[in-house]
Amino acid sequence: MKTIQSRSVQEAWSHVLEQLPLDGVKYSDQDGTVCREYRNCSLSIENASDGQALVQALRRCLPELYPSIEELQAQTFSVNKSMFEWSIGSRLFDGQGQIDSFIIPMLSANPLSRRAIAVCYDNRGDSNLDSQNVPCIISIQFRVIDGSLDVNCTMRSCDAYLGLPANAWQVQALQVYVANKLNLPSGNLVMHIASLHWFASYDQTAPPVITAVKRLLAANGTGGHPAGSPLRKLYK
Amino acid sequence: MRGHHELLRRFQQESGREYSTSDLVETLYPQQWRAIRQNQAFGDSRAQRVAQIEKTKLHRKALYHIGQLVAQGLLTVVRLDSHGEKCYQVALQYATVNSAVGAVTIEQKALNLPMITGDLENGTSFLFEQHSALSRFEACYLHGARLDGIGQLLHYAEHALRATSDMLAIGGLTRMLARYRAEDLREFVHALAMQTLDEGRSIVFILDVAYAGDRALALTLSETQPARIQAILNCSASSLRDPAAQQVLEAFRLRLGKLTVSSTLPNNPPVFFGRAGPYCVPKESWKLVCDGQVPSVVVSRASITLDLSSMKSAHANDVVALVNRSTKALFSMAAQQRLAGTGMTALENITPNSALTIQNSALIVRVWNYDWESPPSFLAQIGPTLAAGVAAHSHVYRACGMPLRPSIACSTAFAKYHASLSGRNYRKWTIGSDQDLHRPEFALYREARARITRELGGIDRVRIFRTGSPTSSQVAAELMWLTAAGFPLVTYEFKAISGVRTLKEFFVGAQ
Repeated sequence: MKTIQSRSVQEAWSHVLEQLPLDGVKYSDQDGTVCREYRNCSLSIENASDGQALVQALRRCLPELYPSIEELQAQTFSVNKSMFEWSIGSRLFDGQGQIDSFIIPMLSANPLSRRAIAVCYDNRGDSNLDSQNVPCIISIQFRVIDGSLDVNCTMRSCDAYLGLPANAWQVQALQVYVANKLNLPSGNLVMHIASLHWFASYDQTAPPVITAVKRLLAANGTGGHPAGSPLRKLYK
Repeated sequence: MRGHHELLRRFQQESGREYSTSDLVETLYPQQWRAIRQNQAFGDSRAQRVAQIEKTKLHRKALYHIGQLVAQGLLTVVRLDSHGEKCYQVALQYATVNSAVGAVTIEQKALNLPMITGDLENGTSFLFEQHSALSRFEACYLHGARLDGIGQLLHYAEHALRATSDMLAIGGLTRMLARYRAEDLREFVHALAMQTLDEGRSIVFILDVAYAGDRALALTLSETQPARIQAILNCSASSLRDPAAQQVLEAFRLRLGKLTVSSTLPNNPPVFFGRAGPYCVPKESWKLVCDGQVPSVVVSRASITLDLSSMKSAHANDVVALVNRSTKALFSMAAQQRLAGTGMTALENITPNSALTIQNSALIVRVWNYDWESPPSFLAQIGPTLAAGVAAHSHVYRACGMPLRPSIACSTAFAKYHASLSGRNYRKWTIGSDQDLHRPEFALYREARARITRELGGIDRVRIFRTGSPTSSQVAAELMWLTAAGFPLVTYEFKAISGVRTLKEFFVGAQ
């Protein structure tokens, strides 16, 4: 069990990338890929609004390899099933939708409820021996605590270097969406990750990119959604 | 006004592309336009004259609506096309227009590929129909095995064509056509030909000559000779020995002067080619259509062609960098297509599960003007570089929770791909008899082509010019030998290339 507390996504990401390659448990996954992992890691982030800047910096440093904010937004909110094999958007918003027809009405009617849980994992398709691409984010619980909207998400697996910023952005975007609908400020974001891992191959390839990302973030200043960003437009 | 509204709806669908006046006339008056085109293409001289007059009238009517949109600043004239018709494009990046029928919002979606801007400008890389890349896929395949009949096939083909910019292949017809009379098939071909008259899209039938229905359709096609419908005859060695199949070969030789054969086994994915070059249905997509999960699949989303003539003396690192840039550009195109919902409106009419239709489609890097006789050393590095790019992209997207199955195929390009491609500077092959196929020089050619295809990791089409007047059994024997020699797709042109009459002259010319 590992617990990490941080003030922002960037701080959490930096902390994990500094420590995990050193003190993570070494193991080989089902493909034989050697990695180090934190098992059952709880990552608590006070304010995750700087996640977008981190995603954008990663895209600048890994041009056309790292998904754009527009693509992450489509994956998180779009119900268009033809875009990806599956999307969190279609699982949370399609038809009646778990967010719009359950989470928001539930927390509007009963802000202290502990039942506002949206599930991204669909056992009808995902619990299949042939399924290779199944969601890493299993469920998201929304709670109103001290007048702000906290989010707890459960993840089965997360790539610390590339996946963590994108996953944090997705969860935070959903948090902002629900918070705006409830007219509440966003609160803490907590990720419970069964396997937070670092592939051994990253030892060689990742450090220059991480350095470049940090340099870029330092040069640009961090935090918040830049004016005119797609996320801002979406929730305006 | 309804006319304005119809035009705006059309621009909304494909806001980035250019529309000729005829395209817009078709949008406004589809029934009349179809009748005119039918008379122009198939009517007698009087009907053609009347059609021309009607066409002029319709143009005049349409220009009233078009002119108003130009005056309002919504449309702009970008050029005159080869027929002297004005071509229009949406002038504003974003506009909401209120008409009597309702509001229409047009957002111009333009392809943005900064990583290859330089390569496009200096003529190293080329995009196939860049203007339609965000509205249509390059090639689709429609499988007829589980369709009710030619009525449903026609209906599906119509929708699949709307999602296609280059070639729609139709195959797997097997026993379906056997129950139709020759007149039905002629009518069917006629109706399909109407669908291909505009916007440069074509259809290719992949016909198995072992089936009577497929042979009948092949004969109908050789008879009617529609401009944009071709046939690829899929032949096994045993079916080529069949006199009925040889009759088809003879009909193609005499009426069309050329024929294309493929030699794929019934369980293997079909191969075909369009204006851009050869295509192969991806294995996973082929499994889906064979299992009956979808009737149609997207074969290729988009392609980039690398013109290698200018890179003969380039350092391998420069070529690897070019391939890497192209890989990134193709992934970026795929991402932009996903966000733009490319082709989805049309494909959703065929299958409710359109995600399956698209998910295994390939992106293609094509090479043009490589010298098969002394191929540059970097040619062997293209395949592995692409594979590494796909692996990296796949890994990053998977890590980010984006379930995609990216794949990039490598293939060759055809000269028709783009008007600005460099002139062909490799030699083509002419044979005068089957003996020419057994010469050591041809063996070298065969090995070189097979090696290059293997190195690129894709498929290739071989075009051979055949002089003389071979009998159908001779042609069948030669084709049998060629397909057995490892060429999956062979085009036989029954004429000589100008300047190279015989094999002897061909090789003398090379010295």
